[in-house]
Amino acid sequence: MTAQLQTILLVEDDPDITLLATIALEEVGGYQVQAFGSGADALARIAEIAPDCVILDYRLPGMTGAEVLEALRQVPATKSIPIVFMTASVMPEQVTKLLALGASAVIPKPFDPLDLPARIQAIWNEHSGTD
Amino acid sequence: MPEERARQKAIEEFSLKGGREPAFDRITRLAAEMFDVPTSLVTVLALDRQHFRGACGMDLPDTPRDIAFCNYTVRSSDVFVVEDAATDPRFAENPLVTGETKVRFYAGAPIELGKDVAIGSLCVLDRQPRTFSEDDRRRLQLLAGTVRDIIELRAGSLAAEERGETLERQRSLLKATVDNVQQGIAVFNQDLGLVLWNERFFDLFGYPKHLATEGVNARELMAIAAARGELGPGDPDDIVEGLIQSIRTTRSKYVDVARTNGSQLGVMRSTMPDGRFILVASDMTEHWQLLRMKDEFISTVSHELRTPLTSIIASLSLIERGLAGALSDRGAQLVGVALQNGKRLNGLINEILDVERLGSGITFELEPVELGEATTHAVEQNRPYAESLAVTISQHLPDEPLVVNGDRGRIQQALSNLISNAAKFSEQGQEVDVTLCRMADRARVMVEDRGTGIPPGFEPRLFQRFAQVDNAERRGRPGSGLGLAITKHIIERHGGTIGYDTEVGRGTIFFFDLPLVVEAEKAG
Repeated sequence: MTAQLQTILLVEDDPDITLLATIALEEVGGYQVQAFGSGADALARIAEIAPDCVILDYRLPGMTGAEVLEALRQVPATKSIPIVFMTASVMPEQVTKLLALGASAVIPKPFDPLDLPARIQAIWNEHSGTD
Repeated sequence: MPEERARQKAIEEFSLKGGREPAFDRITRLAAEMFDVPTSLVTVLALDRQHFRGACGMDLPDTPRDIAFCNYTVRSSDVFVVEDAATDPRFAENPLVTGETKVRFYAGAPIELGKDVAIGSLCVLDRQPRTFSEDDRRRLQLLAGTVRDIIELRAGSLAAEERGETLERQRSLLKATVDNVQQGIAVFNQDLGLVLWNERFFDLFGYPKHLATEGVNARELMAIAAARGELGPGDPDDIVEGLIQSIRTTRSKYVDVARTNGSQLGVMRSTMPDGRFILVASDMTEHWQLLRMKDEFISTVSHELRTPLTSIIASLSLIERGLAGALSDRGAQLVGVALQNGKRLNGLINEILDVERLGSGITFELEPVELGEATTHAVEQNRPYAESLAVTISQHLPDEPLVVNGDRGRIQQALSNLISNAAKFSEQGQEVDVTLCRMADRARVMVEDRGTGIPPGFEPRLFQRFAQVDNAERRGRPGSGLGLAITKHIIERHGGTIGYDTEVGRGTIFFFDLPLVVEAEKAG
């Protein structure tokens, strides 16, 4: 793992949210974002991209966010990096379930784009510090 | 005259009025032969007449009460004897002596029922004077005792018959009731043996029909369900032992059973003080399906509403921040309005979904919650909002910690709702007081404002969903009208109560009480 948070992999099927999160993370936060519309597309490129952090939508076409998470945890490139959910269905039971599955954090939608980079950085810091 | 009342009551109770009875006739025949007299009678003293219930050598069915020799007999505890009535001043003028019957000798033994009330006598009569020995008295008394025994036995068997009928009626009513309820019912005795059940119970659990038999052991039935894995994960024997333990130590328990056939049962067990216990099983399959559908619906709506809103709010935030280039003053103002309202819409969606979720009975995560901390947290959370309205919040906490068993997030939500409401309905410069105190075994939180008070016409709708006072009263401060409905729900789900006191023009106090955790529970 790199010593700094640089590349963020975003899996999100809504193009508007992809655009907005990318602007926020790249232009406000200064990170590099690689965005994919489905888990399968992202997994196909994961080794090559070797991200420092993954942001997953919960409701995705094909594989669900939870399935993508499990798949990512099997891959060496993403085995031990922070994986964060961003979801519009924030039922407490679901949050608990996702954390139990190995998610590092769950960020509810709507998210504050100005605050998003700082939140991801904080999650990355905490994850790296304790690892 | 209490004795006479008791006598008439006994005659009534044992249904002794009426004509001759063969059993009594036989006894009088026996008495007549035994004492070698022409006449013997079993008499019953009604208020105005003496009835002959058994007779030998006497054709009359009854005589007036006032001339009866038996009037003397029933007043003596012993056998009453008149050896020669013609020379006895009490009877010399008696029509029974002077008339057709020509009674000269009388000996009668009282027939005593219940609490030593003599209802009549067994007597022997002769037309000539006689003597009556001690042995004769004893024998007559024995025979009178036999008459009493017959009366009592007959009454006893009548009562038993009646009891039997009543019992049969009750039994068939109970059976009809048990057979016709929606629920499956099974009642077991102290030794876990089945004593009462309906078919529905065996259908719901899918137990073999041959087990629907008196005395079948509850352990055996539970073992079947446990072996199928329907009573939860774990070793079936341990599960059954645990259930038996719980039956013996707790009054009642609710257990969810997930049948292997896909149906869901809710089983309520109640143990009676004598150790018998009842199982009532309800088919909850549809109920759970509906709940799941509702949850699914809420989750979908939540997702579908929030996704576009996320884009709107995020876009506006980025524009406001200047990521799309510099904005004119008017442009910034309009973007600000759009952003504010987008956020308000989001808050509204959250509250509506919250109310739906609370209504569909979501589970609370219970843990010990110190109300002082929760209050401080809620006050701090609302301070920026109150300051924006130029309202100050003061909090008053007790010296001792007050711990309740609750869902920390939900309790803070309830507190926060009341505090933000109080700030919302305060005038500039006014103060909101948040006070926590102990009231016996409960903790009370009070949130007091000095605002306009609740308009009387609004009070009945205060805790209803979407209830809002007129916009003029709110002075344009937005709200969903769901806060108090949510708060009430949260407090009541914690076994608490919520109330308020208000005076128009003076302000309002909202308060809620929650049961405190007792020391033993805290330690354990």
